[in-house]
Amino acid sequence: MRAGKLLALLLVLACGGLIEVAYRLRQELDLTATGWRVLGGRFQGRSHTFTSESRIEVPAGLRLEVANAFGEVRVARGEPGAVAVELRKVVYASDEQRARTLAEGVELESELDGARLRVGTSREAFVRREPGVGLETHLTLRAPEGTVVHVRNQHGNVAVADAAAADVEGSYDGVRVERVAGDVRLRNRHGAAYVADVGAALDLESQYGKVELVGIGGDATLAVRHGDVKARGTRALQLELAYGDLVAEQVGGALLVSAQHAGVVARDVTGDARVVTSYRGIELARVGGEAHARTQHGAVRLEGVAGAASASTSYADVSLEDVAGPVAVEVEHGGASARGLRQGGRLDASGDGVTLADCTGALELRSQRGGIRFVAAAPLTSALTATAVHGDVTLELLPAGAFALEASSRRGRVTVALPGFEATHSEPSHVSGRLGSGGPPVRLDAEYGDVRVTAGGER
Amino acid sequence: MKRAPSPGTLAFGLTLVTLGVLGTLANLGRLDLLATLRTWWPLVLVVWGGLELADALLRRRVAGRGASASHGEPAR
Repeated sequence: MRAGKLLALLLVLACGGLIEVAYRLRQELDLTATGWRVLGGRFQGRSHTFTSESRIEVPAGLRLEVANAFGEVRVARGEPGAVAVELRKVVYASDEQRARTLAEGVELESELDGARLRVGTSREAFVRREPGVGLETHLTLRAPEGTVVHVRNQHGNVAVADAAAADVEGSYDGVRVERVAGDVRLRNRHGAAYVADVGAALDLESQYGKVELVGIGGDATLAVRHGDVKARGTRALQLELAYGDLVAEQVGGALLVSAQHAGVVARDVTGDARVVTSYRGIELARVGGEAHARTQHGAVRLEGVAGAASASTSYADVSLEDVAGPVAVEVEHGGASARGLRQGGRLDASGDGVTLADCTGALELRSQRGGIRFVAAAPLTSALTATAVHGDVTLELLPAGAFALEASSRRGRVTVALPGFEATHSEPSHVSGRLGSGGPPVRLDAEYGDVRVTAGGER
Repeated sequence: MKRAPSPGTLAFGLTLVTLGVLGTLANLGRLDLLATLRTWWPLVLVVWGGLELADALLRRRVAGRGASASHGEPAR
């Protein structure tokens, strides 16, 4: 093919690409004949703002219900006996006079029914009448102290502060709820949610947005999808989470997490912590009760657990530190390490080794493809069983205390080099004997590796 | 003897005519130019390719006739 033709072909293809890009860009911008457009879910273009204010007398113990769309809703504390409402209308039109005329067609609507006040705008009727006009309606309300607030809003921020209780539904923008004496119910989609200083229970559902909680006085129940969760200073926390990470600090109660594709980090939990997730890791530190962590394809780390602990994972490791209760660890395709276990437990790792240091209590250790290494910090006082299939079993013990040893290796060697150890049976693949008199039984088995018992340990 | 226009020239001419017609229709408010171009622009490649194929076949036929004439066909 001649160079000229090749160039012409490339030119035609480039023109085609340019047409495609221009078309998609136009679709994205959604330019309209009146000069405004919707970009990222918001109106863009030349606009004019018109504000009106009104005051509605209300009885005590008010229940305020606000409905809006395409604009912010802010509810804050005002004076007793009345609700002050400011309606800010933003009309997207190039001509100010036309914008003013259009704005006059949008009014504040309110209805007082006993102690219930409904507030909204005539925006729906306006949009039906003028479908080609971009219009935002922003509501700012000041309600008396002790008001129960309900807000339904779409495509606009919601902020509620200093209410007796709050029930908020929002979408396509952020929701902020602060200083609420009673219960809070919150539903939000496609926007961030921030809740702080709530005196009672919190019930929150969120999709496609991050969630932050600070200072929740009652139990919190959350269901969050596609968003990270940060919680600090809560009471009991129950969370269903998918496709986001949780960081919880200072949980004054139990932590219960049922998650998918979510990483979980929790510190300073006064109650039990029970976490189930997948494809991400779990880290629990300073747990006042029991700690149970189960995941797949993620590492587990438990530290400072006052009660029993269990950890289960695959394709990653488990590490434990300072656990007061008995532990149960199961790892597929990974290893396990522990330090400071006080009541022993069972550690089973199929993919890598098992390493323990400064642990007391009865221990049952098993490794399929790695070795087992146990370093004592005190004389043995409880039974110890260690079984390795494809690795060595190594014990570093203090030459003090007493125990009865039974060690064997099917394909490797058994070596015991501990001062004061008296062998009753000794051959290269099998040694039995004891250190001192009495003491717990120690049973060590290796299939294809060596077994070594040496003097050492931590002091 | 007059030389026949090349396929590239023909495709270019046809493209110009088409663009002109589409532009006029768009100015008259009869069609959305960008959407129409976005849908139909690959036809330029089809038309151009077709003209190239036709040109190649035509040249082969002409070359065949020339060869048979120069290999002993009696002149009439």
